[in-house]
Amino acid sequence: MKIDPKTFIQDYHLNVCIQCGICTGGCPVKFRSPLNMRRLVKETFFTADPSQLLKRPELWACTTCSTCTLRCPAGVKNVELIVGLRSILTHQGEVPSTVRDAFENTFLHGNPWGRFRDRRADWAKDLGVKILGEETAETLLYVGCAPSYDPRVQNVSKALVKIFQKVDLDFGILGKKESCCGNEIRRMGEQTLFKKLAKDNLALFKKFGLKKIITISSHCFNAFKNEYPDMSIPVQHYTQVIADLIEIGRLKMSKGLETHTTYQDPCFLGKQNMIFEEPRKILSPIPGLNFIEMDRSRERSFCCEGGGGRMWAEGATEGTRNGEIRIKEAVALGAKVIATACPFCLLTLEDAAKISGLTDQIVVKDIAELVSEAM
Amino acid sequence: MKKIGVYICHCGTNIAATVDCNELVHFSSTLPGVKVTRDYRYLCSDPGQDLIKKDIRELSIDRVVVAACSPQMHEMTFRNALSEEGLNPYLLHIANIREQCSWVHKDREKATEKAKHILQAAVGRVSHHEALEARRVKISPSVLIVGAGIAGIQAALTIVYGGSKVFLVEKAPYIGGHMAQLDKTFPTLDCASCIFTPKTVEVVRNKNIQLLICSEVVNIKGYVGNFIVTIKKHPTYVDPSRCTGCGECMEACVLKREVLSEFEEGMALRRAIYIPFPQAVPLKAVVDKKSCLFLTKGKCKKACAEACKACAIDFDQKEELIEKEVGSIIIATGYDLFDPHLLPQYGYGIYENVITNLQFERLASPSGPTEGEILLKDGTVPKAIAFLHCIGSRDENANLYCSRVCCMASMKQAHLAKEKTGAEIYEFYIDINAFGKGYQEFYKRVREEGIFFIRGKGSEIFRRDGRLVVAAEDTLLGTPVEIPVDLVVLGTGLVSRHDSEKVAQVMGISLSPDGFFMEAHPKLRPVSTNVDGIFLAGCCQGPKDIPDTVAQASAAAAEVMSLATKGQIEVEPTIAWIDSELCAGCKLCIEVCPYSAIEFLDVKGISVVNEPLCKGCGACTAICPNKAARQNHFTQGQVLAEVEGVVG
Amino acid sequence: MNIAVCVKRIPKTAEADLFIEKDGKDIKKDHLVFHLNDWDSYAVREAAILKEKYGGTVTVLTVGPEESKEVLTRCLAMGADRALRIEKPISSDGHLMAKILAQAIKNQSFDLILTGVQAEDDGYGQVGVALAQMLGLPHAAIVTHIEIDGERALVRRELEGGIEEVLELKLPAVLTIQTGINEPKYVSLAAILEAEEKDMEEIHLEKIGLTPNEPLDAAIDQVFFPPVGKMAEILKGSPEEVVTQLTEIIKKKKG
Repeated sequence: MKIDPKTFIQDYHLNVCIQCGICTGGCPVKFRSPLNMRRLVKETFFTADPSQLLKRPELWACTTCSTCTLRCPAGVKNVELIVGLRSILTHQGEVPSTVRDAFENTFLHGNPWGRFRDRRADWAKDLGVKILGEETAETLLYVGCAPSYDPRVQNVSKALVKIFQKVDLDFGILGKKESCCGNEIRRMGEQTLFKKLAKDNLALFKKFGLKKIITISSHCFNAFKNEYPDMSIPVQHYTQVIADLIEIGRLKMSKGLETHTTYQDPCFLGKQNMIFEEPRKILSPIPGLNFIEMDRSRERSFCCEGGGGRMWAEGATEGTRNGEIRIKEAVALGAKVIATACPFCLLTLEDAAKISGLTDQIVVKDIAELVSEAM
Repeated sequence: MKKIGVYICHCGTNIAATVDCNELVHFSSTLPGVKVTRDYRYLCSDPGQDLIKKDIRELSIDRVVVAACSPQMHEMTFRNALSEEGLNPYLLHIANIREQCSWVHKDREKATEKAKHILQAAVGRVSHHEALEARRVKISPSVLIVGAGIAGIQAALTIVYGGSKVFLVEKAPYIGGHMAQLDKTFPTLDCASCIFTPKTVEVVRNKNIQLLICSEVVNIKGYVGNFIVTIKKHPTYVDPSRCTGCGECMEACVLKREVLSEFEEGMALRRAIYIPFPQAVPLKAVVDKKSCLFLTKGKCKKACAEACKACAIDFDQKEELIEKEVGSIIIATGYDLFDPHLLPQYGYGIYENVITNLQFERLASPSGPTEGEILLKDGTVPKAIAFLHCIGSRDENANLYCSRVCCMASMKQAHLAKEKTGAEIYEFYIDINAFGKGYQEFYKRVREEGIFFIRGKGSEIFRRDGRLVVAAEDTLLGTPVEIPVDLVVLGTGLVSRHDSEKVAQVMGISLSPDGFFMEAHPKLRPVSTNVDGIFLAGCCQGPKDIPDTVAQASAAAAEVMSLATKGQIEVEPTIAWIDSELCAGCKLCIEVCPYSAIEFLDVKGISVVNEPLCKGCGACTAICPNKAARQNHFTQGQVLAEVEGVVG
Repeated sequence: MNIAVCVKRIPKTAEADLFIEKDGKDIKKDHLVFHLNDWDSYAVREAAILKEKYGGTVTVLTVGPEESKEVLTRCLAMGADRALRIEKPISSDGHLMAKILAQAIKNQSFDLILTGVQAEDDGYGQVGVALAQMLGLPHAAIVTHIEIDGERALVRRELEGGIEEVLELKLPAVLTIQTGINEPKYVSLAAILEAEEKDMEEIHLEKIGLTPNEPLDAAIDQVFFPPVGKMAEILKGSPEEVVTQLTEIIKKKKG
């Protein structure tokens, strides 16, 4: 597969850039890394030889939150430019060793953590969950890699199962047949691997005659909804499903949680897919949960630095991580719980709470966990 | 036997480079009825036209085909040439071998083949042409002006000085439009009210201007010189002949949940009965029927009526429909401001100290909610102010166009803010559009006053440590910045009025892709529309500053005056008529006519075309099952001959 | 310089559920994920680096079944020029492997032959060294650094405690490569798909004068799970109490 940087100008509309700087101005890593999107667009446009550009470690600092692309008044495809440059690096094999491992693990084991495929559904062992292939269901709960393997995030998966079983929502999981959705793989530049994952996953979905897919992770939701070609099965993020269930009265949350809670809009759910209301429609009715809105919320939500490959690469970032800034913002707001709807936000914010020494003042919980506690 | 003269134009190389004109000449001479074929480099020139005229004189040519550019360019030119030689101008047909052939194809052989077909079609058609006489219509001298902002006012005053009558219709209860809301204007820092008050006062004083406020145009019928317009006058529930503008009613109004004042851009409240602002022209109270307790709920002791010493309040006022006959119409309906709620990253509606440029104008205005002081919502003076350019303009996510005036407005406001508060002022810009007379000089002045210009579009506003922060990049230094300020003024752009589509529909005019009303030609006919007799002035045609608005209004007035002076104009005779012998009275034509131009005569049981209203669209001709309805210059014979020429 | 690298396709067993075959002589491998042996991967990369520096060609060889083609493809994507697969005999015995490789290599002229130190699955560590002996070539094992100087190789070997031994060998020579000798580049899926288009040689044992049933010097007797030990004993209590309990246990066990 030839990636020709000369097509970048056309592919990513680099020539319409008016150099206004709204991209760099809104970039979540603008103070943490030398990455300057505006300058990168101009340099890529003018360069005859991109190899100098490719040597920059800050190309891996981008979280692909897409704030730049969403705000660009000229229609430049900023994030895709980063993905394009990363694709060249990937093709040349010049990726950080941790990214290399993530790719190779995904190829061999179907998940970037390198955990054994046979272990993927261990978290659901004693929960009475249907495994598609052994039993049938029209709705797939697509679990995802972090919710399958990471012990902290497994709690979210379990909570969600509990909720669905409580409301008699019929669903199945793919078990060890499930492979990575590829969202981060594509954003890190492994286009061929992403295409393969998409192809294999789509074949699997078709094989089981699925009518609906629910995802736990905002990243998986984004991949299926926006980046998979020929995806004809409707996809929903679990917050949309739960908000619905609450609205029609099928899910009742009667236990009070008595705590001040705020919410981190995940980039892949919020600004990229405009799902802002559903999580709030779930949190507000929980008795005792005093919902406080963070200042930087919704379209201005502050990226946790978990996406776009940042789980596996630092990209020459320095200084205080956004997660720490966010945790401190939440604490200053008076929140005792910071809720989120994305495993990467969950992990980065929790880490940040630990590093900041604020674990006694605030906990990070996924919405599914809160709902499960309040049911 | 017709004697057809065919004239083929090279149009320099525009046609000749792609179409083989020699071959075309040979081909032409083989067509039936063609007496003479000539070709020339530029037929529209005098010598070119002379070729045609000579042949009419000497060879008794009685039909003319000109194979050249689009009829839109020179049909008139050649028709005039025929007329000058005494030949009826409708015995001409234009074969468009430029826009429809040489300009859109590259292959010479194929293009020439196509040109032959086009020519053949024209020759076939023209032999069926008949002489037609242009209709002459009278131009009624009165003028309707829709909108009494500075554009409408300027046009109205120019026209009445020329001697015609004007009906000036305004939706709001006051005249002056957005200009009335402005404090000082750039670049001279003239006070807006001061400069236009003489004009507004004259509008009310002048007996030849009939001002209708709280009114809208709901229907127009007719055609240039003879429009019949229906104006709906909304009830204000106050008799203007009695009201003295004392304001006692406002004080007395019992409405507790006051309404956001439109004039103050929501920065102040008003009651249900109100005078929009103390210098309003006309200075009369009006009742807002949506918030008046008596009108909406029937429950009110009408304290206003009690307080009114002039007994001017009349809750029995009804809506009126007024019909007027006018010769021309000028649309001067102005603009709306872009709604910054549509760009949530700026926090408009979330942070009370993020405001639009018009809202700032009200703060700066001495008669505004803060009496001309620049204050934050809590009443304190800001120590730092940011002006963000291009909000809602030049943006794929909002409007693509530049709103033209906001750079200057921003800098003017920065100057006023600096003068009044001494605060640190930041202008976040991408380009500085200082295009007009004195504008660059003003830009220099503003820089000299110490206002900081940061080249970078504001990316978002958020709150930190109790202050508002502007996140952007200083693109000239190449460093990202987060600048804390107290007040953010968004350079919100201009958009077309929210009811433009409705107005366009009523008037029968078009909208440009940017949503503003479309002019007939962007360079050469900037105040005309595609409807004869309807003109545009001001921001309703596109964003512009006051000098350009006034200039355009005067231009529209000039067009109107030239029609009025002429007294009559010629209108195309290419309209429909119905053969009374063949008409069966089925009324299908009446159903399809978009201009309601066909009447049914009960006595005779047939349909008849009302000539002045007919625009010659051909719908009735197409639908008539008896072929009784026909269109001049588009008869069955003519059209079919053309089709045969194309496919034959 | 012409370099040969001997590689092996092995199953990844960490975290996997392992089951013993019915005959007790091997583990079941059907459900396992296979890949290129880690040490061999470093060796192939090293060969590619040496090729970049000194020119020449890189040939990879493997003794394995049809499925082994996928590791050869990977090696081609990593920079190898030629790939040769020799059909696998029934036994996987290391000494036998060395014999087969020696037969395949002896008539070709290579300046340098690389193998990994050992395989991830059986960990015998003998193929490279045995190969050197059979070919009558000098060798160095557990190599962490290679420099070539005309007809000689200057190599470093890893010893315990961070000590390195520096050796000079006359070429041709056999080196067994230790992990960490270089930083492996990522091999993109696109590069692998391109490499699939390249040609590969495949030969049966008969071609090099051997049979699938060669006599063995050693044979696997039995493969079994280690005996399950007693569960760990958890000492509870305050630090002082735990220390007391612990001291008692140590005194009892005399150690």
